[in-house]
Amino acid sequence: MENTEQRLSRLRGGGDPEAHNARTIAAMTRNPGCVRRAIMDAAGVDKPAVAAAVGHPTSIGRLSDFAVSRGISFETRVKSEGCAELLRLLREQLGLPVPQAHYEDLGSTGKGETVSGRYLRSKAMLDTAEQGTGTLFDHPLLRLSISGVWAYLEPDLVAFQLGEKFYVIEIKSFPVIDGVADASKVAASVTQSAVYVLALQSLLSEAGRDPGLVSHEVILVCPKDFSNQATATLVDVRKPLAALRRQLSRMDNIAALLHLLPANVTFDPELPAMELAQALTQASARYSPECLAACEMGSFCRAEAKGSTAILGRTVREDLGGVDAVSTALELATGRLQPTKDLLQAAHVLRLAQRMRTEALAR
Amino acid sequence: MQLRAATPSGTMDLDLRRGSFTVTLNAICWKCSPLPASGFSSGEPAKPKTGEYWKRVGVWYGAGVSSMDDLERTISGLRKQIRQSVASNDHATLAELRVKLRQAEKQWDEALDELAPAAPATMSLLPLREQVHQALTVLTVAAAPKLIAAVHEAFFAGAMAGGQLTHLRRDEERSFRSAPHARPYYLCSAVTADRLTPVRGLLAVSTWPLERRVIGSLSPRVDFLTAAIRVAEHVLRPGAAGPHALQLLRRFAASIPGAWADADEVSPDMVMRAARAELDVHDHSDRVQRRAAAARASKQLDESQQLFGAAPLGVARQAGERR
Ligand code: SF4
Repeated sequence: MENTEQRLSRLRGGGDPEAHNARTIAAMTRNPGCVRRAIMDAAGVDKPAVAAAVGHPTSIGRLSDFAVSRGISFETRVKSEGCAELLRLLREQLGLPVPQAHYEDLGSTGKGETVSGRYLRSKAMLDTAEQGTGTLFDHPLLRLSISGVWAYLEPDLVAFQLGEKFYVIEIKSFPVIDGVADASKVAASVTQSAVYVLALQSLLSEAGRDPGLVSHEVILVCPKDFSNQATATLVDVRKPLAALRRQLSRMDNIAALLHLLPANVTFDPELPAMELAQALTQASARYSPECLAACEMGSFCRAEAKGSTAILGRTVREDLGGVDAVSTALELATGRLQPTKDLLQAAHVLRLAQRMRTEALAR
Repeated sequence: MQLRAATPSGTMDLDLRRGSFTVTLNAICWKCSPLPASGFSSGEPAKPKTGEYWKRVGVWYGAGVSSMDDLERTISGLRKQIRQSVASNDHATLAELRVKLRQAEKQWDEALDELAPAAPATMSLLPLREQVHQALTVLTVAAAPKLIAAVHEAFFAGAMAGGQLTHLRRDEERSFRSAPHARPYYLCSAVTADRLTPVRGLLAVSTWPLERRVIGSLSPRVDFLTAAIRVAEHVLRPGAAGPHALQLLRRFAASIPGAWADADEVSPDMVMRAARAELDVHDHSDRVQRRAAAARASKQLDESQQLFGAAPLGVARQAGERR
């Protein structure tokens, strides 16, 4: 009898599972109801390869060179001279006491250092960091178990100890103008930071310390008002953290979801396109337009959902509860179809909308 | 050795053995040249004669030619996309593309700056290693190339590209290994207090005591404050308070509590006072850590490792053997 591990391996077409990173882990929480995604992520299927194989290549997660170099140069500036700029921010904005000015570089030392060696170094350093002897930890290496496989995460930033707590600091190059930043970018950074918070908690509990030492607030450092200066903001990540925990435990219980798939189905990117597309449809999806920015399968799922009301977004789908096809919605709106009892409410909304449209066009 | 640099307008061949230099032009057309006007002096560029133009191109194209080619391709691609978005009234994309274009053009200008030789009036006649030594002697602490370049620009003749410093340390190490102590000083590494390995991106001077080159967890801050004091002292010297020097001092002042009252005015005395006050807080713990690490390093490391740091694996193995 095949166990879960073997089944997952067969699902991805053999070979090693795709390595997750903070972005892909954060993205997992974006559509928790989607079985297709949960199974593909748990199995570590190479989603970009699958999407390309079925004729819907994706560019998600591929940052432009400009974005990358802008990000790196801002991070370097904030961290230069022993994180002088960062210390200023933390002192001025968060009241970091002056004696706490320690800096530890936990970044890769290059040749010869293994990932697990680096992880152990980070763990030892963070574990022994008593209050007053450790402040800033640059590029610590953390890890999270994703359905039984370690994903190593390197916060491109610093975890530090302010008072009794560890904080995750995320350095981002999008500007905060008059105290306001691009909401979608903030949301994405916050979910990513939540991944680091979770990983830091798991590091501390592995070291036998209280995971509650990690603050549920993260510090977001961004350029201020187009200037050369940086600004720091505290952001609460409790909500994304809860979503993340839920999704990860769901993936740990992947066996239950696997039963929904016929035993012969696999998502091997090497399969012929038709066969692969057919296999994908065996795992039910839950497409919404947000998928396009969050999941490598977005374009495939949108094509699949064509003609359904899901493609119009979550709010529309909820307003039209029970009406799944766009064509049905049109027929209800124009009165060509008489609503059954359970569709009365939706039909009412649709007729109203149709009347308003006709009136608007008649002007 | 033969080198070829391909440009959108032609190719340039260089034969180093024979010392010959050939330029082949595809077309001579100033208007469609890929170099934007901003690459030249400010204002309207005078239309140069063909020969003159190529002389400049000859100077520019070299090490950075491929990245500049890529940038030029990106720029013209972006311009095309901008035209399309204007035509289709797509304002959202347009704004984004404009930002990208500006960045690309800025990068192009920066790449050009790196290629163009510095103006002779502001160029130092000293070899690079001596310029670095001069700057580090002002600072008295290990420093990153960017800071070294800024100090040199502030107090000595002219600019130094931080990028040129990347290979310096390796060259110095090679030279020390082949003929130890043949030079009065070497530019060497700072070493980490815990593992005695070289610290990424810091340069130091071999004649300094080991204790000063060891970097513990408080040392980056201590060295920053020490550097601030040294820069402030230097600014106070007659004739040293040039615009670059004041700008450098302002940069230090911004990150030291109590070092400035007014963003435009910066007072060296105030910077010194504030930096010393913070230094008093960290100095003792830092000294203890550095001293212990330096003692360990002088026992465990050979002479060249003391200067250039232990190899990460070597230290691990030694530690394992001792156990
Ligand atoms: S794109 Fe498809 S697979 Fe991905 S989350 Fe959306 S519906 Fe699920």
